[in-house]
Amino acid sequence: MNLEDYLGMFLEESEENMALLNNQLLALENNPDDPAIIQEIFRAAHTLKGMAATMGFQHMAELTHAMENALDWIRQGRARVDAQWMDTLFASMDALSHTLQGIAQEGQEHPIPPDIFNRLKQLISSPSEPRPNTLSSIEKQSPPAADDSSSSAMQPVLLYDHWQELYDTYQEAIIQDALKQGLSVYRIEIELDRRTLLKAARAYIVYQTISDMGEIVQAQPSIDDLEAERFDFNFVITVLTEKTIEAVQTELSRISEVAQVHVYPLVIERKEMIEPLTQHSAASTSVDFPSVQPSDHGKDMAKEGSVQSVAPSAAHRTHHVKTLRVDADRLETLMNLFSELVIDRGRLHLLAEELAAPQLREVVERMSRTTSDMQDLILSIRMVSVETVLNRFPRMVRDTLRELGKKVDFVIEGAETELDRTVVDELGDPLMHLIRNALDHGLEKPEDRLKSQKPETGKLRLSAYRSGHHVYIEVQDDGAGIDAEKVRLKAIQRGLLSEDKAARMSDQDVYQVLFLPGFSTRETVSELSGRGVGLDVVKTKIESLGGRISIHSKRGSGTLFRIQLPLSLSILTAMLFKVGEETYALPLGDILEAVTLPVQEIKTVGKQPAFNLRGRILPLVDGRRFLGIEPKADEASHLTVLVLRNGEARLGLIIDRILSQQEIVLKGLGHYLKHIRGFSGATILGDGRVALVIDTRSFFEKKQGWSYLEEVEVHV
Amino acid sequence: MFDTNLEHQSFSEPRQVILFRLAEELYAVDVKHVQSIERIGSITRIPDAPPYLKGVINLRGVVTPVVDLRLKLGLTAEALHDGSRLIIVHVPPYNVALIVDSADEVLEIDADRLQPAPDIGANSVPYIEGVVDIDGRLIVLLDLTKVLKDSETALLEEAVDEAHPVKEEPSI
Repeated sequence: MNLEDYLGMFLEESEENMALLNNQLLALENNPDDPAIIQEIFRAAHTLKGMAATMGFQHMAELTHAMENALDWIRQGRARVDAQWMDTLFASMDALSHTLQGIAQEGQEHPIPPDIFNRLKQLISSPSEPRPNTLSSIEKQSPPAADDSSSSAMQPVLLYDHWQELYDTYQEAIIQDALKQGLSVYRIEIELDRRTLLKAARAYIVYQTISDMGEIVQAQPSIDDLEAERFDFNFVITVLTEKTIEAVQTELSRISEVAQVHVYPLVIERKEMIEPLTQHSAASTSVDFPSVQPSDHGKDMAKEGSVQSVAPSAAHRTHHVKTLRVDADRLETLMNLFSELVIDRGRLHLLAEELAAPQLREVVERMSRTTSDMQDLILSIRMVSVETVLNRFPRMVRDTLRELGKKVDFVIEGAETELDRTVVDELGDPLMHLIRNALDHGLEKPEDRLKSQKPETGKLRLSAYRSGHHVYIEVQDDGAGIDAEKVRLKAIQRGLLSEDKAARMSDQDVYQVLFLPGFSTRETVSELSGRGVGLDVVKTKIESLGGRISIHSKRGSGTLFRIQLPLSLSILTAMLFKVGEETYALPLGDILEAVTLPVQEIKTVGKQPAFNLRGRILPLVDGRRFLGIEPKADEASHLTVLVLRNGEARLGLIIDRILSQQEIVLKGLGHYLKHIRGFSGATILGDGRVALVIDTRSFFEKKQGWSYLEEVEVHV
Repeated sequence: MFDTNLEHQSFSEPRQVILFRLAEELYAVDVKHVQSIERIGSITRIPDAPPYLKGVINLRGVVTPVVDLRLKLGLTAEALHDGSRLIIVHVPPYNVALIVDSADEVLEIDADRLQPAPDIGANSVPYIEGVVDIDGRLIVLLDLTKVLKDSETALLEEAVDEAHPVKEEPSI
C-alpha cells in the first residue's frame, strides 16, 4: 500500500476534522459542561490520531494522543474546563495545524515543541475536588497553574513525581541539592508575543535576565536552538535562585514582547506526603472574553452552566450525512457526456416532430423528463455548502478579538447554503479580508461604543442565502460605519477623484472609491489588515468568480458588504448572435440593450465611428471587422447594435442578427489554447456545434491601432 | 534482466505507432499519445489564431482545438476531403485534434532502426524523432511533444503570460 496515494485524502480529512475540532472547542468554551460537545471533540481527536498513526505521522499521533488523554479526564468528570484548559487545547490545535502544514507543503511533519505536551500533561495533573481514594496510580496531584488573571489562587507547585521526568539524572541531582540547601527552583514557561520579529534576540534577553537571577539548570529548547531560532514562541527555562516567585514573575513580565510568563516552583515533596492542593482556579472566563456563537445548530444548546442530556444535543450535532468523495475530473467528464446526451435528446425531439410518430414522441417526452431530472441532479453534485469555508472563521474571529481587545458577537447564518465547489474554494480569502476589516476598522473598542450610546458588545454577522439564480453572502457589522468625508478627502489626496467630482458624488458612490487599488483610510498600517490592500483585491477576486460586490454603510450605524455570486460557475445566461455566418455568445449581463441603428445616423468623431444613444456618444465597433470576417456584401439600411458595458465604459457592437437569449454551459478552451485572448470560453449549441463566448473586455481594449474615445458629454 | 547500459535501454523495446498520411508521405506517432481517430465534423474558427490552428470542435462534450498538421510541419495546405481524419492526441497537459489526410494502421517499429531525419523541409526537422524504412516505405516518426510545445507556442505563451497572467482553468 503506497501511503502517498492517500496523502491527499488524509490532508482533506484532517483539515475537516480540525475545523470541526476548532468549532467544537469554541462551543465548549461557552458550554464547559456539555458532555455532547466533549464527546464530539474526543471523537474528532481520536479520528485524527488514528489517521495520523496509519499514515506514519508520529508527532501528530503523539500530540493527538496527549490531547485525547487530557480530554478523557474531562469526559470522566475528573476535571473541569477552564480558561487554562481552553488555552492549552487551542494551543494544541495550533501546533497540530502547524504540523499538518508541514505535511502538506513538504511531505514531512514539523516538529512539535515539547512545551505543548507539558502543558497538556499539566492539565491532567489534578482533580477538581479531592478524591484521594479514586486516584489511579498514574495520576498526579499537583494542581494546574493559575491563570494570569486570577490572583487569589494559591501558588501552584510541581511535585517531585511530576517534575522528575522532565530532567535527566544529573539535572535532578542538582535540583535536589539546591532544594535541600533551601534555594528555590523554578520552572519558567515563557511565551513570546506572536508578533515578535527577532525571536532569537528576545529569547536571549529573557535567558540573560533569568541567568542574572540565579543559575540556569535547563533550557528547553537548548540555548543553541534558542539562538538559532529553532523554536516557535514558547520555551522553558529552569533556574536555581533565591528570589521569590513574584520577583521573578514581575521581572520577566517587564520584558517587552513577552506575552506570558508562568513560574512553577519545584518541590521535593511527593504526592503521598501532602494533602492535595485543592485550590482550582475557578473557570474564570475573564471579563474581556468575547462570546462567539459558531453556528445556528449551537444556538438552542447554548444554556449557561447547565448540563445537557446527551440525547437531544447529540442528535442535533452529529448530523451524519452520508457522503462520498468523488474525483473532480470524473465529475467533469460525467457532466460533459451528459450535456451530449441533452443535445441528442433535443435532436430526437425534433425528429419525433418531423416524423410525426406519436409513439416516438411519447418515448422522447419521457426521456426528456428523466434527463431534466438528471441534469439538475448532476449540476447539484458540484454544489457544496458554504459551511466548509465559513467554518474557519469563528476561531479566527475569536483570536483576533482577543488581540484587539474588542467585544463582538459573531453570528453565522445560512451555512447550509450551497454553491458551486470551485466558487466556495475561492471565497475564503475575500471573506477573511472583509471580516478582518470589520473587526479592525469597522467595530469600535468597547469604551468608544459606550460613548456612542451603543452596547459594549458589537455584532458581526456573516450570512449566506440564495435568491433566484444567485447566492448572496453578506458581512455586516454594527460598527462605526464608513466616514464618507474621510474617503472623499483621501480620494482627492490620492488623485483618484477631482474635488469637483467628489463634491457632486453621493455618499453611496463615494464608497465605491474604496475598491480602487492603493486606497487606505487608515493612518497607521494595521497589523491585521495590512495597508488597506484588501478591498480592490477582494473585488477583483469576486468578479473573477462571476460575482459582484457592493458596500452599504451608515456613519455610526455600521457597514454591510454584499457579495452576489452566480449559482453555478459554469452556467451563464448569454445572448447568442450571428456575425457573418458564425455564431458567438456574450454574457447577458454585459449587454445593456440592443438597438436598431439607421445607417445614416453613424457619426464619425475623428476617425472613429460612433453613434448617439440618448444624448451619449458611444464608439461603434464593427463585429465583422473585429472578428476578421468579410464585410457585408450588400448595404443594409439599418444595423443591429448591441450596447455593451465594461465597468463605466460603453460601446456599440455591430452584429448581423440576434439569435436567442438562453442559459449556456460555459466550457473552457483547454491548456493548448491558454494563450488565446479575447474569449472566456466556448459553449456547445443545440446542434452540437461549438460557439465561442467572447470576453466583453476585449472590445474595450485598444486593438489594431484603433483608439476608443473617452466619452464625450453631448447635450442634444 | 536490467540493462545497466542506459544508452541502449531505450532501444531495446519496439515502439507501437499509428501510421497516417500527409499528402503522399507516411508519418507516425507513438500510440501511447493517441486517444482516438475521428471523422471531421464542423470546426468553429478562432479569430486571430495562427494559420495552423484551425479552430475548435466538440468532442463528446469537450471543446478540443484542431491543428492542421500539414501547416504545422511547414507543408503546403490542402482542403479537407472525405478521407481526412482527426487524430485525437493527448500529450499532457494538452488535448489536441490533428488533421491528417488518412489514418491507416498500427505498426511496430524497431527503435534500433530509427535514423535521424534527413532534410525534408526546413520547418519540420525539429519535430521529427527519426525516420525508418519498413518494407520499402519511408516512415517519419514525429515527436509529438515538440509538435505541440514548439518554441513559437512557448514564446507566445510567455509573452502573453507576462503581460496578462492567465488564470488556471479548473479542468479541461
